Amino acid sequence: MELKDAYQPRPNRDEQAKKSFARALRRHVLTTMAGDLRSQYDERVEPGYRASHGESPADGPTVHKLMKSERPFRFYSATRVNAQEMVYASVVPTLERSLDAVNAAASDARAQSQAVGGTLSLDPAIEVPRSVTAVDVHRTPGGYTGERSDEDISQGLLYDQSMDVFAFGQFGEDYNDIGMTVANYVRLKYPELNPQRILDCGCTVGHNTLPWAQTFPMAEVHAIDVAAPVLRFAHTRAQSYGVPVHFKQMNATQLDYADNSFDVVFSSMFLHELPLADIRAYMAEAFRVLKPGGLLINMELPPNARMGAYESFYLDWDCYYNNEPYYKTFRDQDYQELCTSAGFVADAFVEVTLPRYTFVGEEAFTEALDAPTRFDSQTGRMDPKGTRWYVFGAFKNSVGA
Amino acid sequence: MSKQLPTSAKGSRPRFFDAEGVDELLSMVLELTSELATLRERQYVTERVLADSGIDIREKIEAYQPDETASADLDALRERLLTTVMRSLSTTSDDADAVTVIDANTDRAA
Repeated sequence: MELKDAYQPRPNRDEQAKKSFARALRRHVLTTMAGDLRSQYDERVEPGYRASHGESPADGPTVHKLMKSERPFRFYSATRVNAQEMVYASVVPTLERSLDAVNAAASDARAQSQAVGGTLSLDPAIEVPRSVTAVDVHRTPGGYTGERSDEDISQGLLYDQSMDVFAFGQFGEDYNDIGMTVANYVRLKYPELNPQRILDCGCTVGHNTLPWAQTFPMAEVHAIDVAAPVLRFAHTRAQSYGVPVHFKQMNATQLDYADNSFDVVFSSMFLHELPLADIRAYMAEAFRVLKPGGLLINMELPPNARMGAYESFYLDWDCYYNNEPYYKTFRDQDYQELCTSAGFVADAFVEVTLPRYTFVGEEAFTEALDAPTRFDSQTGRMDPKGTRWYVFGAFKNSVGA
Repeated sequence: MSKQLPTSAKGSRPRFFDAEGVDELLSMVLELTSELATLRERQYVTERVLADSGIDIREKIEAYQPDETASADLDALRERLLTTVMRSLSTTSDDADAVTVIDANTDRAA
């Protein structure tokens, strides 16, 4: 058995079937039922509104108000909430009956892989913010911080094992497509940057951290999160993959790193889980720790102002119904302003929508590097027919290239 | 620290239907479908495993003709399943006031 599988508990036949069902249900809701939802809007709701108001709904909240009482929306939403719960419910029993064995196997895996050179430093004194503890974000039971002992990796394992069910394959084989896409974008688009030190903020279990160390093998890669249980798993996983990363328990709003010390500061699916004040504090910290000419690059959900009214409504569903309280506030921001108020100059702003690197391959990806940004139903959404990740950030002081 | 993994998420659970019970009903239907999918998968795997061991029960299943006893068993099985799945229809009255509530102390209609 490979080291990276040694601490992964195996579902039995029925558990595997339940996972497969939850995966199929997720896919069904997000493709077939989402399609029905869109048809209902296009064929009835939008024409009805236009007939009485003389114009189409102007924004997401207006569409939301109109759709709320429509039967397809009720069934889509209720089924989606259930599917979200069934994702985790399909994984928990497997973990529950293997907890002690899993933690022992993880400890073994770390001992066997010490030569890899990655590290883990936890800070027991850290104050985990209320934004992380008040609700379980995206309805994950136990959230990021649940733990059964000081050695427990099961909360990270729950996140890891549920990712396959949740994303029904749309995050790539190792759930690392976002990291692979952004790291390879930086490599191909800005070859002169050649980063020596890279920081991933809000890394959770490090799915999208490892690609940076793999894409830039000479670079020193650091990754931080406020939650210890997911970091323990992240460290175990990185070591077992043979990829050296330095994981630290730290708050991105208060970085314990020197000024001008990183070439790249990265985050993925992170900002939308933060209160606005924390987003601003993180951006200012990113500016501080970046070297002159360094790049801040965040993979995120696209801003509402750039999306049509329906797409805004569709993406903001999570804010209302999936325990993502800060999601819409973030998407309502002007992302360029977030950068400039943190110290970046306006013309150093970078914004791009990218095809998925591990899906399309290097050649097609390279061809798409200079394509104009696209804001449509495939932007920032898990669509088997073709997803485009949205990325924004800025160079410090000067524009790269 | 609890020894068990939590099974529900902190935070409120949204509701989408005006009519009482529809949200719960949908959850039940989906859980039932999940159970059915699990059972079907097991049945499928059973047939494949037997076939790999040289016992092809799939053909025998197709050719199977139930005798009188088996027919009666299968009839009963279908009836039980229908009664179970449709239970909510036969016990729900449109007029809630018409439901008699028995007082546990007096054993009489409350």
